[in-house]
Amino acid sequence: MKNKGCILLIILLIFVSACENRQTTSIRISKNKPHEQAIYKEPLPNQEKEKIISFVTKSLDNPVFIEAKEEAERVSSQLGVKMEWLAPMVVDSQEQEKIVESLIERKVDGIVISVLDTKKMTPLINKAVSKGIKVATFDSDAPASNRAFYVGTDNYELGKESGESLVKIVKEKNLHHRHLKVLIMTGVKESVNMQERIEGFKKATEELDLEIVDMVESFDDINRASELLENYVKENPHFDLFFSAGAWPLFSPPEGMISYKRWKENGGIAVIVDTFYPIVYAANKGLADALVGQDFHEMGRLSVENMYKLINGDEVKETMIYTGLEFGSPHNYEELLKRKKPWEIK
Amino acid sequence: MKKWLKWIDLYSIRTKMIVCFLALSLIPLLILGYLSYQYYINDLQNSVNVYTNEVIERVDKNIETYILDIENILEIYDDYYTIQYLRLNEAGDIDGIQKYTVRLWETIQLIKNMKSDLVDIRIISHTGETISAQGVYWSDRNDPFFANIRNIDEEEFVVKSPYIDMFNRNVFSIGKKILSPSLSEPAYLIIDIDVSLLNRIVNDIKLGEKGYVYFTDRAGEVKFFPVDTSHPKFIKELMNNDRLLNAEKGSFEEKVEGNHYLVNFKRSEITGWNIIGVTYADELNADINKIRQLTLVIAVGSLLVVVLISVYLTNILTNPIRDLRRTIKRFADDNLAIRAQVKTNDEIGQLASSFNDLMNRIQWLVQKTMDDQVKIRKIEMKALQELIKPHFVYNTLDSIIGLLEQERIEEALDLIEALGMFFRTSLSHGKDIILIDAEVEHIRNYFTIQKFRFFNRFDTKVEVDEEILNYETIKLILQPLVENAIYHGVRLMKKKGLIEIRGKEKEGVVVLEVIDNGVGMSAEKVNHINNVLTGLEKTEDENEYFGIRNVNERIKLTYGIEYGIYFKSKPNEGTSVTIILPIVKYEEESYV
Repeated sequence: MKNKGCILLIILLIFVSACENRQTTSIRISKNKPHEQAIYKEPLPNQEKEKIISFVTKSLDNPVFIEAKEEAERVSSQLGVKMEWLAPMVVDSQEQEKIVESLIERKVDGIVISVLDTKKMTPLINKAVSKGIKVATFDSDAPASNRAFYVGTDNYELGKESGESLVKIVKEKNLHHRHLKVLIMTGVKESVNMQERIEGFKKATEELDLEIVDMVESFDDINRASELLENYVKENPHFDLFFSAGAWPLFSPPEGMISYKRWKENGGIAVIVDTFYPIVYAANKGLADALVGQDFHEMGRLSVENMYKLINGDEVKETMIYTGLEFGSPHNYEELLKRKKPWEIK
Repeated sequence: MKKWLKWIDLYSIRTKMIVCFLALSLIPLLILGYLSYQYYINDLQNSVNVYTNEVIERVDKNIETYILDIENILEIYDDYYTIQYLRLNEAGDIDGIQKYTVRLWETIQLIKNMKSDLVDIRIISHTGETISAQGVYWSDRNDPFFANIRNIDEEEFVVKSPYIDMFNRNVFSIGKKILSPSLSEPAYLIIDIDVSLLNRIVNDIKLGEKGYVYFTDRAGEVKFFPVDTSHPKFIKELMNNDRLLNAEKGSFEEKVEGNHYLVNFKRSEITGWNIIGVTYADELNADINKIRQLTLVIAVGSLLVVVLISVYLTNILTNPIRDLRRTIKRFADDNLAIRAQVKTNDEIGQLASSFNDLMNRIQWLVQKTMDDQVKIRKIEMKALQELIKPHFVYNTLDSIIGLLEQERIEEALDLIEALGMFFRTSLSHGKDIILIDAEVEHIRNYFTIQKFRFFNRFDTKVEVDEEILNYETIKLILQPLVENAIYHGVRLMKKKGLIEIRGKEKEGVVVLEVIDNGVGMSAEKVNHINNVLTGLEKTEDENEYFGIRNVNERIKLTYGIEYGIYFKSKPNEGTSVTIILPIVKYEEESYV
């Protein structure tokens, strides 16, 4: 009898404990990978009245293009076309491609591109052309593409002139019999214009016993370039010559480049491409022995003029439209500074 | 099997008790179960509603917070440089504007980097010329968004629902207008925000397994839908739902293609969007089913437990009763020695105890009856031996011989006949109980014989009421009394005596009297005899008063001590013996 009672009690306990509700949450919050669904696309701007020429540059934070922009705007307003100036905020080839894609979608009349990544941009240019958009390049070309023309510096020539300026200074300093070490700064190694400038430079300096100790990339970043150079000089001061295929390192205030300045004072010779006001200013402070500049005004003007012809059905016979060069040396720095507008940007 | 069937005897107390226990415990259990189940379901639905509303409220708050942040940015952006840029733009000062262009790009970049999800800041002049993080380009002035901005106050802002912009960015926008005395027409300042913000706010939210939150605008167009849904039709139907479009806040149930959805919504004050939470009712049902199953399991489990407990309790209560029943059955089957084993102190224990007393009594009575029977047999034997004494037969036969010698044939024949009848009634076919009629007949024969033997020295008279003749009596009760009346009464008289037999029904008993007018007895003797008969006195000699004691005892043994005989007598006046018998209708079969 007692046993039976015990068994019953145990069954009761098991049952009661089995009935206990251990699972308390019925609403679960789980995480999922975000997934969004495009619902509606904004209608594209009405473009029937006025023709649009869109410039796509390398980046907005690089002021070198401002001169070209200003001139292109001026010419556009004279010709009665709308001009756009588009670029990723900082150098970003993917962003640049996206912008070109959006222009193809919008079916602007003309696109003028300063190509960042030649390989990737070429098929995009061809796509735009196949859709009836007129495409040209400026400053940085994509020669293998179906673009109508290129406006810009003859980069080989620019490099060559830079090389010749260097040779001249070396000879003046009577160093041309020595074995010389040269540091080269480029933008992006793959960039065609940079490669051409360096080729021209090499050609011009063939007569010297040059050894390229290093080739550093600025990635077209004017903020990083001076720091990059400064750090490089601090760690490896044992080179004799410096050639920068662009003006990136001299945009920053010259006061900050202590090691470079010391290297310069110890007899370093520097030749820099471009002659913007801040560059000439820095050069005048002793940071460069020679400058070879591009004519961005001319680039802007020629790009708009020729593109205007194209979108109006006219022909542009030349495919390579070169703009002129400007030379700076300690002799004419002051004069150049007088002529140029100081930038109040940086 | 039979045993099992017997075990679940429908009419047994045990079954009734089990049913009672089950009813008592199951009815409240079922009511409780049902009520708590209903309550839980309601509670669940309420929780879902409350939860969804909370979620929606939170979503609204998050968006509001972000948008108010953006509004602050809009405020600080309306500064000198922007106005200068717009002024120069309006003036067409290409030369002067460059500085401000670059400056604006820089600040846009700065703020973009500072504020997450901020995709772009656009400043649009009245001509549609736009400056943003993408550069400078032309916007469509006919965009209704601009018209909306134009129509509001300077301090207010307009929210544009998610869309894909010119640069294929998935954004929603907040815009305000820029007014300045130096501008001929207002310009627009617009901040584009990545919808991934909405994604982050909304996408982590899961209402149940499949439920989600999404936005629609005032027109019911889905503007942002975070979940890859395969029910576009469902969305459409929900979006066009009047309840959703016309109310600020609420919830309803909607059935689309056989699926139930619980929809909660709220109109966001700041954006004007509807924030809609959709819960799949079938998930709720899954929970409800789970509860239902659980309730069922509990119910079945409880039933099992209750049945077990009922059976257990019933057994405790009914086992003694069944033991008692078994005991009684065995007792009935002649096992008189068996007694109930009293274990409990409750009513059943008391019952068992009383039962045992009853058993004892019955056993005692049975034993007594058996003893009485034996006694009666012995007394009867003795009575017979006493009545048909050899010298009585011898004398009678002698008388018959005398009559025959005197050739009084008729008289001899009468006597022989009387003697024959006398023997027949004495034996009565071996019966103990006979009709009073037969007993009276017997005494008449006896009278015939004795009157002849005593030469008619006494007369006889028989006065028995007709109605008592059919009642029963034990046999041979009158003859010993008549014999006494003859031998101790009338025989000693000088004159002729009289012996009367009277019989009647009186006060519920049968009264038979044997009355003689003989010599009678002293009062002491009568007392003594009566005391002996009632057992108050004992005789020293066993044979003293043998005849009357025999009659008296047989009557008492057969019918009870309240019956029997008693004497009345006065010297020289006679004696009367009264026999009291119960009124029992004679039934022949029962005494075979």
